[in-house]
Amino acid sequence: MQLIHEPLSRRSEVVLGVAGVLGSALVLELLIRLEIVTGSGLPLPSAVADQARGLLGDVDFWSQILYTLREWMLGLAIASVAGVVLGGLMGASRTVFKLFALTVEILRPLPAIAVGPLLVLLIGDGMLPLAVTVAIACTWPILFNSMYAAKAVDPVAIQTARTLHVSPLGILTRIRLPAALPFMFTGIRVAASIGLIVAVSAELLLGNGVGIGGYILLASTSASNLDAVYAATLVAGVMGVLVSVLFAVADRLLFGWKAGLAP
Amino acid sequence: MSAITRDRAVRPAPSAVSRRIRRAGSSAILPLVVPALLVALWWWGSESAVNGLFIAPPRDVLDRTLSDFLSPHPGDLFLGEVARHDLVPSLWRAALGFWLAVVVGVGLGIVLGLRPVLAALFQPLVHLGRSLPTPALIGVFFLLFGTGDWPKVLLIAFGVVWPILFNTIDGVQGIGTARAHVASVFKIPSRDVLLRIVLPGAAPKIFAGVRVALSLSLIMMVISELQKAKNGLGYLLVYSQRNFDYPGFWTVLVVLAVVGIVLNVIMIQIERRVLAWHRGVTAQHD
Amino acid sequence: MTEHTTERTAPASLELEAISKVYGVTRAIDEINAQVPAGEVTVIVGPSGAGKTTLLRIISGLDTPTTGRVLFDGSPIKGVPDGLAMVFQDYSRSLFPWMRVEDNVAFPLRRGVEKAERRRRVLEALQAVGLEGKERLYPWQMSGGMQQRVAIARALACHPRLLVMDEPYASVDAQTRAELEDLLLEIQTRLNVTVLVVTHDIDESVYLADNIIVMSKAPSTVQEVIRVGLARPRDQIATKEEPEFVHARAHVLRLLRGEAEPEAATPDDTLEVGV
Repeated sequence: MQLIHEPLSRRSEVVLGVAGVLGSALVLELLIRLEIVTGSGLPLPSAVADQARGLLGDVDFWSQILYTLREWMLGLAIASVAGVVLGGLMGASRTVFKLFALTVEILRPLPAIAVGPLLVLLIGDGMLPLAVTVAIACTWPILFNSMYAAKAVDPVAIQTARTLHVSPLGILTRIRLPAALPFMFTGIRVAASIGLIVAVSAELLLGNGVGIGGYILLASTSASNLDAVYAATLVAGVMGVLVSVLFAVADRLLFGWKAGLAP
Repeated sequence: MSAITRDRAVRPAPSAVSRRIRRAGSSAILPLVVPALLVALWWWGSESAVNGLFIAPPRDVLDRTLSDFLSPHPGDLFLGEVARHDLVPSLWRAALGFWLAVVVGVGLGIVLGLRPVLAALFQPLVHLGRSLPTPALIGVFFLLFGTGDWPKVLLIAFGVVWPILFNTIDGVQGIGTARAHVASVFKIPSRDVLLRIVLPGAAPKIFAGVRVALSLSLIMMVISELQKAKNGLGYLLVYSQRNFDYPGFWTVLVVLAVVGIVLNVIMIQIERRVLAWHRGVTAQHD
Repeated sequence: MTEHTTERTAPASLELEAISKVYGVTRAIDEINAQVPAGEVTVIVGPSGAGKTTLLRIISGLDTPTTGRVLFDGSPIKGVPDGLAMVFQDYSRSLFPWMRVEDNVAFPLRRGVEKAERRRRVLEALQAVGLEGKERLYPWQMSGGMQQRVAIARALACHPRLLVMDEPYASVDAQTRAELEDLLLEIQTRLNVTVLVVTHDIDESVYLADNIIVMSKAPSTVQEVIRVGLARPRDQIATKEEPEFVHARAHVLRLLRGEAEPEAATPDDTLEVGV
């Protein structure tokens, strides 16, 4: 008997994916409607979808979405600068690596969300403590990928450039950086997905009713409004999927050449 | 690198030895410089007039951590009162949720990974699950599963299952047609294909997912205890802050970091044993 | 069901009857009729993209032909025939890096062969390919040529009646390649097994073969079947100097070049086609 199968075509994958989403929603809908599964607070797909449509037509909710997006971008920007600089230096120099490796290992496991309340106390209210929480969570993948990025360059490429009399500056800008960029971008791409989740979670736990998380927090206070909680969570999840798709497309457009290197 | 080798060839031996000693000394001290600076910064912050209120002095935090979390009594397994009351229940729930996620994620991932049609059907949902801000569902979980430990355990499991599931599917699909052909030509029984080809072949990817899940489960553990909890590290964070017990708050942060480091070390040890062959293969390709 | 019997049985023969394969609208194999006589070495040679790999997958029961049938010892095959073992081109993927050499070789024997017998067969197979004492190594601790020897040992340990090899030496260096060619001929004589090899290397095809099946570009047909009467044992230098070898090599090359683009066939690449 054959256990491992050949992959499907791209088109049938898309068709099946759509069918899977609709089918799962339909099954869940029927399970709840026919009272095969009972209990309060179950998500009825049609009601959640309805509520989500309503949210997307709501100007106020859009301003919350924009708030979350701005907070996310600010956090990601801080993390990108910190991660690329520190990670790049750690990858390029043994000494810098030794200086920071232990510190990174100590600080990395700390859940960013747990540090959040402290940031609120120290920085005060507003977007900044939320964005810094996002930045803390996002720094690690960028840092590690930048570290590998700095080591990514093929020594043969550098030797080749030397034999072609390329200047040290040219080697840096034309060989080391192009070789490193895809890895750095991978780090930012991973961080972007994490960052959006952390942004919504941080709003939920620290915020004062701002952003998508703030909306969910307010909706959660009344048990009758659970569909709104599900709908807003779903919107946040779909936003996350869109973000990762966008970054994947950008990755392919910008660094398509590296696919040729994959083993 | 090349500068060092050139150096070594020219200089006489004694200086190379002394340099090696100096280097060994510096490699022991260097990693401690930044942590020392951070502690100094922490201490300086606790002395400052504005923020000192919220920043407990490192010395106090250390004392408090030791007295709360450690005990001289072997009968308590050397665990302090707070450790027994909050740390142990927290870790217990996190472990339960984490294991649930590993079992479900790997099991389901293998089934989906082996059936391209099933994988394609559920791929968008797996992507959605990975992108959901799980903490948003905490209220819903309490409503659905009551108020005891279960909603917390299930929230942790739901939050961390996605990277395991995603990576397992990816790993199984990456095993490739060449190995599938070997299995067919030599008529390897399904059980052996599963346990000796699919599982080991996907193991590097599965481990990558499990590592992400492990650090994520610490975060989910804290979050699950921020509401409707009677114990746990997350509960302690909220409780100490509400009572303006800032040394207590900082103590929890220190303990969280220690727990994270210990779990990470355990994970690395397990990986080293299970994936020894994989390191061999990648080292060879370098 | 394979009961891997201890007794070696007679070598198998193979007949291809009007095999064709169509993928969607592309015709990969037009119509192939051929014989693989029992106890001999048959080599399929053809340019890249000649559907050699597709044909091999059909012969080994991994794929089904659109029309036609494969007869294994006179009866049509359903799935992978019992008594067939295969050596794949890409040893790094066909061997399992998480198993030691001995476990890789023993892996197909885990069903139906008891432990002591399994152990005996593993050692015997490793000895046949010159890898005694290497059983505790992992494949990635060995050179490419040694890894391919492990793959051959794994196939031999099954006591096959038909050994199928898909471009087995395409990924090893020239020196190792020559060694493995001689190893194959020696094993084939000693164990009396039918061997079917696919290659794009013309020298190799003539050196190994009792019969050469020359295929055309896709949609593939059989251009010609050449009988090679060179004496055994063959020798990498002496055999290749014999007039018959030189003649057969030139003949195969002409057949293949007749199909190739005129400018692609420069005098320099007389030895290999369609790499």
